[in-house]
Amino acid sequence: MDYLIHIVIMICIYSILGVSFNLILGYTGLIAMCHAAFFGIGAYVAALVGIHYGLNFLLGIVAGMVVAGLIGLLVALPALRVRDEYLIVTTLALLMIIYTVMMNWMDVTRGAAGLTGIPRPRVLGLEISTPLEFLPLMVIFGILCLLISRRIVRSPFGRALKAIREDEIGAQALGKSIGSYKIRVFVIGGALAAIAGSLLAHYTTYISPFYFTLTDTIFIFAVVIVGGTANLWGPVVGAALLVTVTEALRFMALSPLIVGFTRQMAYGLILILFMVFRPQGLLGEFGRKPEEEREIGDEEEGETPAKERFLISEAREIFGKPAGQATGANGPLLRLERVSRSFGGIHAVEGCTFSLEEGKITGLIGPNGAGKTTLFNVITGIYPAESGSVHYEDLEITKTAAHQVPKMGIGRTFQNLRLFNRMTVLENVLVACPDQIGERIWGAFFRFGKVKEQEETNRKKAMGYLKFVGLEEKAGELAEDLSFAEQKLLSLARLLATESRLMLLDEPASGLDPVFMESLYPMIRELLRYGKTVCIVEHNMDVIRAIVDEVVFMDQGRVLAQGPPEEIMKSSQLTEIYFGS
Amino acid sequence: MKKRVFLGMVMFVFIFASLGTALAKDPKEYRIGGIFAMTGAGAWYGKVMSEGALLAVDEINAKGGVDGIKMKLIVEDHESGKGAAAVGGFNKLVNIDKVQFSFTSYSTPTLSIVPIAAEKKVLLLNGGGVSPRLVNQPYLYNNRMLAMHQGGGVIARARELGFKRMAAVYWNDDAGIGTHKYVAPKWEAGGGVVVASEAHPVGATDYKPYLSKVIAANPDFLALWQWGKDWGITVKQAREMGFDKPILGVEYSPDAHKIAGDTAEGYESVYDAFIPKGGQPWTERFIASYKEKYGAEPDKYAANYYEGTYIVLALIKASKAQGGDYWAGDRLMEQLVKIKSFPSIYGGQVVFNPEDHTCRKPTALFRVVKGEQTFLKYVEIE
Amino acid sequence: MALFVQLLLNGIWSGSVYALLGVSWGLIFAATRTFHFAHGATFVVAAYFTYIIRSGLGAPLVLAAVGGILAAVLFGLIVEGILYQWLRRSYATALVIFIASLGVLIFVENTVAMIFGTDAKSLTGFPIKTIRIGVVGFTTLHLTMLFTALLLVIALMAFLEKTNQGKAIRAVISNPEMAEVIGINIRKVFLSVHVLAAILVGSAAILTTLERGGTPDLGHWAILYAFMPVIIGGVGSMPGAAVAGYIVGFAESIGIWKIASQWQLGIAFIVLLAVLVLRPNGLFGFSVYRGKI
Repeated sequence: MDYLIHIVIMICIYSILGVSFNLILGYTGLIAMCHAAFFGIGAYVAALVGIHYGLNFLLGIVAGMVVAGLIGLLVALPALRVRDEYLIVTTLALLMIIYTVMMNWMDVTRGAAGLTGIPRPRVLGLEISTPLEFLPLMVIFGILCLLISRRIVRSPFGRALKAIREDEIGAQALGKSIGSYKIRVFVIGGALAAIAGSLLAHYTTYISPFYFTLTDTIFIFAVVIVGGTANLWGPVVGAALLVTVTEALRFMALSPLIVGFTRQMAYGLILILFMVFRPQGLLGEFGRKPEEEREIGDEEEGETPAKERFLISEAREIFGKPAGQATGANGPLLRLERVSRSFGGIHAVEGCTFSLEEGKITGLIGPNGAGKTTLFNVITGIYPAESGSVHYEDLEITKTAAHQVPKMGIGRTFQNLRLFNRMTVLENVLVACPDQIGERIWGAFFRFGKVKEQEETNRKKAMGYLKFVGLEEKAGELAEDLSFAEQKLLSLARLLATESRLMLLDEPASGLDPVFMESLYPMIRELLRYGKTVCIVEHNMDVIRAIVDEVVFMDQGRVLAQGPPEEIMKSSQLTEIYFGS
Repeated sequence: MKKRVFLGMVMFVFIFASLGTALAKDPKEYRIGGIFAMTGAGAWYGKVMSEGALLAVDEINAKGGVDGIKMKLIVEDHESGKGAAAVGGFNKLVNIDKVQFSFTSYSTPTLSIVPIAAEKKVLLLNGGGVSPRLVNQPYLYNNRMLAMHQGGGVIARARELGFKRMAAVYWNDDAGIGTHKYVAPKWEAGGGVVVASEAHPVGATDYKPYLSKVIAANPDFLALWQWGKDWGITVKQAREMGFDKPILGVEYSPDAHKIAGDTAEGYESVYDAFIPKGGQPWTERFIASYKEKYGAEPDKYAANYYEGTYIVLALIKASKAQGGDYWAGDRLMEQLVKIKSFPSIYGGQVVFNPEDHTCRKPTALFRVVKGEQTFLKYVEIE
Repeated sequence: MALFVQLLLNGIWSGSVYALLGVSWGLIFAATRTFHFAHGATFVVAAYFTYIIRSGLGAPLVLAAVGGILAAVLFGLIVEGILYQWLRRSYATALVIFIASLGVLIFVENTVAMIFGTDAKSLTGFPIKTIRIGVVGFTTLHLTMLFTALLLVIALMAFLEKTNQGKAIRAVISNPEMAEVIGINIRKVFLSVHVLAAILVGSAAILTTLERGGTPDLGHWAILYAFMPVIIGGVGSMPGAAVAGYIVGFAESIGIWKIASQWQLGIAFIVLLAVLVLRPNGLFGFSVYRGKI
């Protein structure tokens, strides 16, 4: 019986590890190889606190969380600058360094020999020493970590994490500070993992560096992957399966010589087979489970499916009162002066000077490779200008960071959309809403009421934007399941949700049929009535003539002309450049 | 009348005594555990240790066990020194197999299960680990002399050979560091000097960095506080780097000797004096049976655990004589403390010291001569 | 001073092995964009097949070495040609392939451990002669490591430069989409880089086994020292990886000149971290980071 309880306890510990790692890997998409290090730090700190100071075990756990959180911060910092395989390598290096320290800092960690005599926890004067006595403690902490994870995942913070996983640049264009999110998730994930470590230390009363190696990180990987990434219960299922298989192998009538290896071979095989046959894990992936998103889906069931013409009254509700005529008295909304940017010798944008009037639609045209998208990237801070300056209203924003630019009121769409594919249509729009209290940790946990209120409001707004573009029926669908045209509309709805004053649209109609375009452009024209200013990159001359107030013509990185469309079209020189000779 | 009373009393005492023994709670079988390095770099140790114990168990059972009750050895794997594995395996032995006694090996796994053994009152006997930290642990006794004892023997030999400058390469763990900490001051007190001391992770395979520093320090000899295969690899790489001074160590195994090959020539070591050709009758019988069953000559580790099993046998018998719930770890330990001295497979006796739970056994100096490990002489350990 | 020279030489021998590991892994990574963790398994396969053929069948070392390398080539072809291709056809994400690769490494290492045990297997038959120059010493094996590394890396560069298949490989490294458009057989390129890489990593495996004996967990060791030079040198640059291999070797070896030797493993990783923080694209690599994993 004790033995069965022991198995349940180990499942609890690995569930906590899996849940904490899932936040980093499953929800944020960061392939971090250092999770065993957080586990180990929690264990060592709790052990040392217990052995040398004899403090209550809860303090040991807290101490472990603090140290692990700090290490999480240290891990995140180099990790911010790198992506994907570089992240794998960085975190692997950190794991190995921490492991080396554990093995060699003899004075503190006693190296390979490990620490023995870790005291048992005391609760209300009672010492907890048998597995049966430990069980409630483990289960309580397991549930606690699960609840914390649940809160994170269901909050706007969690939503932003998923957005970052799906497309970092896309998330950045919505004003999310990628670095800040990554740091927070590493710190939280690390601190939670440390809880598991502290509990283990008190349970086995002995720890050594061999519990926290690369192989153990891979085991945690397996727990998350097998259960199903980005699924709240996934790690629990994964832990249950893998721990049971591990212990069961001990009983198979194999010679002791073989048991150790067959266990490891089993992990390896499980990893391979799952990747080949069921990469989404046992419980499947996020988003595919309607339960998680039922909260949104429910409300929409009763809505009328008719694709009715968007009512002006509704528009007013969403966008606010239509702006008065733009006076232009304060000068242009956006002004570029001799902006240049090159990439390794290629002058993508050179000496560009032009301005965008408030309340107008400006078309940015030119042959392929003229530098139009690069110009957008420069304005929005993705590739800052190397010389020249960018002014928005009265401010110079040349050096403003990419995630700050949206907060000033400049939003954009991308040629390649950059939608958050594995999130629902509604979530894609929701994540774009500005100033969400729930995106801050404090807000997500301690201002629950306010966050809920804000979510309600934002949800109404988001549905409004979806209605504006005609996608309200698809609110519960995954973005990747939409047709291409629908995805374009979603991209626009997402931009609208940012409540930007200046909207930069990068080829919003490319790849769409003309009929569709005919309904899209009046929509954009509508926006001007609500105080928006639009700049759109476009190739289609008919469209330009129909809706654009002013045209900026670019070629080979330079602005060649700016003026009303008819004027620009008349110039034979420009048309020759455009259509080629 | 007096005769009848006397007879009556004798019978009464006789019945009482046998009732006493009969009231002794007999288990179905005597399950003893053994936690060894069954996998990992030290798998050879686990193999020979378990073989030694198993041979003894088979012999005992062939003679009917203890009053017809047989012994059973249940082996678990600590994966060449992993505390986690040892704890897992020991938990199973204690909770499921209900052992009252277990063999253990290696220092780290032993230390990891000591708290559990003390809690559950299971007697542990270590015949392999050598760390100074194995001294005076509750419920743990060692029928092997520890590293510091052997290290002491090495520097005595070095002094004998007239050396002054010592370089040491050792395990960066309790056993290695503990030995060096114990030995270095003694060496210096005797007029010697330590010119280099290099700690390395257990099981390292590339000794170039450590040996480079050793060679640069120009010692008279190199001392190795290493076990497992490491001494063999170190000797090989040292000779290949051109180091030609004498090398002395505290361990020998045929496994490691194979790695060193010819470079092992002249390597001297001080450790437990299990001398296969020693001429002791029990030893010779053991060697013959072992050879017959396993096809190879036994070494000191197999010997220690073979000896240990007979010690357990003696403890069971002694404890049973006391009656009651005799098959219990604390009862067995009681007897160990009481009896103290047991026949040793090395010849003579192995004497346990209840103060610090260590033992004293014959120790000797060996040397590799013409590819063969050769006994030179017995060594006194203070 | 003598110590410094000795440590410098140690760095050359280690660096040679690291260069082989780095260049081979870097080639696969640059061409296929797959984080081929299972490269460590290829290492282990080469080492143990050489061992079996030599000790089990009693063949001469050279023959055993050839056999070991052939086994490595075959293994690489199976992992790429069967496992990875299957996964790619199922539109597996890079993460999925990465984890499958991890699984292969663990599975192979433990299968080998189960069959052969984890004690170090010695490879005999190489005439190891000690060479002493003053107080400094090394062996003929160490010199062989240096020559093998130089020879194979230069040969690989020549192959990439001069042969048609080599050019195809370079095209794929440079621009995979364009390469496909102009009709290069991507599948063939992927397979061929694994073949080339297996020759280099197999050689590294045999040399390492000769020096210190082969153990199954060398797979872990090999993969770590495989991607370190690539990241430090910069993805996409073969010479960069080779040079970086020597940088790691030197840093590690000389790093312990004044620091206690047991920290050696940590030094290499600190160098790696420093490069990642200061020059994320590596010392010699492309400045434009291309593509997600």
